[in-house]
Amino acid sequence: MDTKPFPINCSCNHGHQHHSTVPSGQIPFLFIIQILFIVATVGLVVFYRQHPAFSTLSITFVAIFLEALPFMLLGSLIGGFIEVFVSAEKLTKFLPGTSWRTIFMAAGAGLFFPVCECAIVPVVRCLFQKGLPLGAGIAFLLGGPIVNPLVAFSTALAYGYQWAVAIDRIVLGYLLAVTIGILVELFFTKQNALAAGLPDNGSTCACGHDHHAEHGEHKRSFFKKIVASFQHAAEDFLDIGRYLIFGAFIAAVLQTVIARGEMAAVAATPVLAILMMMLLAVVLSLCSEADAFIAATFRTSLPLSAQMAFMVLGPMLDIKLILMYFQLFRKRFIIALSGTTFVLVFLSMLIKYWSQG
Amino acid sequence: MTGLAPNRTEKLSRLILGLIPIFVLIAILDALVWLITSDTYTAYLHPRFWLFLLIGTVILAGFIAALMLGRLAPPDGSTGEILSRAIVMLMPLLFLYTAFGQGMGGHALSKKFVGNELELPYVFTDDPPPEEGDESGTDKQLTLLQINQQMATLQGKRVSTEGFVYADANMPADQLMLFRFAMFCCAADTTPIWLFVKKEGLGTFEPESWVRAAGVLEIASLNGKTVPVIMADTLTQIPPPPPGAQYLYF
Repeated sequence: MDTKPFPINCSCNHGHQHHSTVPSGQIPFLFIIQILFIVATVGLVVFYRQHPAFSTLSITFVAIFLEALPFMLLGSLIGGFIEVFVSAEKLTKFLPGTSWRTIFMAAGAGLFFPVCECAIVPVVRCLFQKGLPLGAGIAFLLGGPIVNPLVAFSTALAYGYQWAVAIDRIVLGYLLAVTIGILVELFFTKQNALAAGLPDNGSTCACGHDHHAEHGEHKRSFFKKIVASFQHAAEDFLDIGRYLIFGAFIAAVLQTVIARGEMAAVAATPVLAILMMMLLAVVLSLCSEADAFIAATFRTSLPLSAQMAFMVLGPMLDIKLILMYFQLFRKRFIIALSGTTFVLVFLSMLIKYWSQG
Repeated sequence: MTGLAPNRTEKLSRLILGLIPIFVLIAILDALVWLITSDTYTAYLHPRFWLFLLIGTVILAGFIAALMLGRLAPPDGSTGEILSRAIVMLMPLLFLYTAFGQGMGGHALSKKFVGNELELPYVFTDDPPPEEGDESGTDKQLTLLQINQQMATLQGKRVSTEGFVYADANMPADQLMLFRFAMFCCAADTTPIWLFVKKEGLGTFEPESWVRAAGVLEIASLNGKTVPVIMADTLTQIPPPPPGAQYLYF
């Protein structure tokens, strides 16, 4: 295993050992993806700049990036503060005694701590490192972007102040987040879920070093802690930011290529309608405050369960999120999480359709 | 032999690699400042997002300051990995530059339009004659969104509105569609808002040209869907507004 001094920009000025997870001599997969992405995007700019579709692609790509950017920065900053100011012991004291109760609490945490799906990934990463149980972290990851007052309001607004639709969405989102959190807790551990190199011992930061333990003897000043928080946050942002860019670009390409009207036309039966809307949610990668307005445009052509499938699945699983998950989880876990989420949303919407229409 | 001190070239290269993340953040910060101060961000985001962009700008400035207070050591990875990561982070700025001055048009309409049918035969099931308009004699200047939202109360009144032209070979010669995009958060979630304009001797308009139509608003039935129609007596091509002013907002 390759080791080299891991330079860290935190104000403690300690060097840290870093263990690369890539065997020496091999090119990291992410490096290849980055090169391919650069070649593809530059190629598009050089050869297709005059094509009418290029405007749609560029504007959509930049729009998704700009919309997500402030929330990504905020999420990274919150994560940075958690890194430096919240010890594992403090978090453990705050959480309920059992992991089941923590899951139920985490799924509804968005009501008091509303975050969008872009901000939530860096926050959950830090919470995992501080000892948050896996199932609770997943419940927060999936439930946080839906179970929050901003989403409830925007949903009600999109449906002409039909609060029943908004409440339906919140309740379904909460129940699904809890269910998936419990399933994850039953079948996975942090060791086989979290990405290699992401410490899971509950008391370290992303560099593998426990700041709290080391600095017990000489406490850092408040200013140095603030600086350290921002440094951790900046590194987090630079790390996760590229996944946001990959996801935003793919979502923009799909929005440029796929026509919403054609997808609606495919939905001849309720089952197909639900499936189609779920695929559309994954492809469009819209934020949870805006997707209700898109779902509402299908009001007269698709059953409510299909519209709800779009609104529930989108904040939990879309192209952008799946790519950001690679920074947090192992590939096998991402596949399992995505598949489980997709299937459970589909089944719950089928049940909804059969019971309510 | 152990632990030779790095030579000057190696020190310089480590310093440059350590500064790359800061340069990336400075570039993004510059772009945000320009977008906010020039109001160009409205070509991509709802105007209310200015506060979030401002918060993002402040946080970015904090990141830059914090990294500069650190040891400026290079990030983890080879030189190629560091450089490629930096280029990836700057890609949105490249597209921001290349898309500057452009707005969403007919291609975006074809991808975002959701109708009840796959193909819309442009035949009205009823074709009401023009009626007397507003007694004041002036046209109500309204947006396409306002007309769609208030079409029941505006029926029979004179209105004036603006938008992009969409016309295809399937439409009758005396009709065209006016459209704009309405946004809730960003350009990715825009929905086309449209109406029809009907006028004898319509003439030819370039696709995506910006026109002002004035006339009496009527409501027609199109394959079971009610659509507003302006029975226009004037239809004038005018210069389009800048991209940031082309959207309607929920």
